[in-house]
Amino acid sequence: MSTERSNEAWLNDLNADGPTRDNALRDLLAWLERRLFFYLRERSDLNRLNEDEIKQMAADFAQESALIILEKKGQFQGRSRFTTWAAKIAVHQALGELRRARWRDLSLDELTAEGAFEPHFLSQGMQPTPETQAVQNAVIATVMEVMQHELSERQQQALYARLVLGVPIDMLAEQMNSNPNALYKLIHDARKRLKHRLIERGLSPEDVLATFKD
Amino acid sequence: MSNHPTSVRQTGSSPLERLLHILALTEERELTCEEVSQLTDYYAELEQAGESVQQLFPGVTQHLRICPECAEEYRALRRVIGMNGDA
Repeated sequence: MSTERSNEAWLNDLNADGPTRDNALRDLLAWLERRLFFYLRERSDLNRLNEDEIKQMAADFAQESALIILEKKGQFQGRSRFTTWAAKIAVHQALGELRRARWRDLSLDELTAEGAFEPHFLSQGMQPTPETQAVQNAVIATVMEVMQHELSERQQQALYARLVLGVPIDMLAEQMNSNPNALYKLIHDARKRLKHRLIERGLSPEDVLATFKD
Repeated sequence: MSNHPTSVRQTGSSPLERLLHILALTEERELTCEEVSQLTDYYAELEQAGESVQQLFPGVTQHLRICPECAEEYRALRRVIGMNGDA
């Protein structure tokens, strides 16, 4: 097995016909499979699986990734090693599938049925002192005011799903009939609005956090 | 010891503190997940070579601090290319 090819050699070999291409693809698959196996074996959420199952999972992810890599190889710009670029695609594919498996029963309507952002969600786990209670109340009041009067229902729902429930952005995008980029921008606009309002009221997030830590 | 970014989700704090962390990190202009994904292979190799990626690509570093999924994928990429272990 050889992964010592230059970037140019990888592209030439994968673009070739016959045994040259087959060998390059075999090398790429073996490299990805081995690296993914080492990574997956360390994941605590997969420790219920035995070594053979992890090997199979790594092989499946490598196979799926190789197809994508072959399809996208024309987009490789040569800024990194070809194998690093390929690993990036494989990791995205593998982790995307793991996220989908973890969140496959996600129903955003169900999860947010209780009415999205509420002050008690925000203050969960907080142990304010008499000194920080007033600051905490002022922050929560500002956040709730912006949520209710300045953010759209979709922004509120997206922020709640991301922040309180921890829903991955790709899964959330599917649920909200959007795409991760559009959703990122929607949430970014909401974050900017919240930050501006807090700063206007003398509640800069950095300062408030410092107050909580004191 | 690596200085790669730790995302907000990892802090284990309350929702209010997480929100404040996210807002503290929020910039007027940010890269999207897709834009960051275009650069992470290059970013990882530069980091591996000891370059100051946080100065070279502040937008990528900021995104990796604020986006748990991209941060997780970046950590995995580092492991897969053998940046901090035996892979």
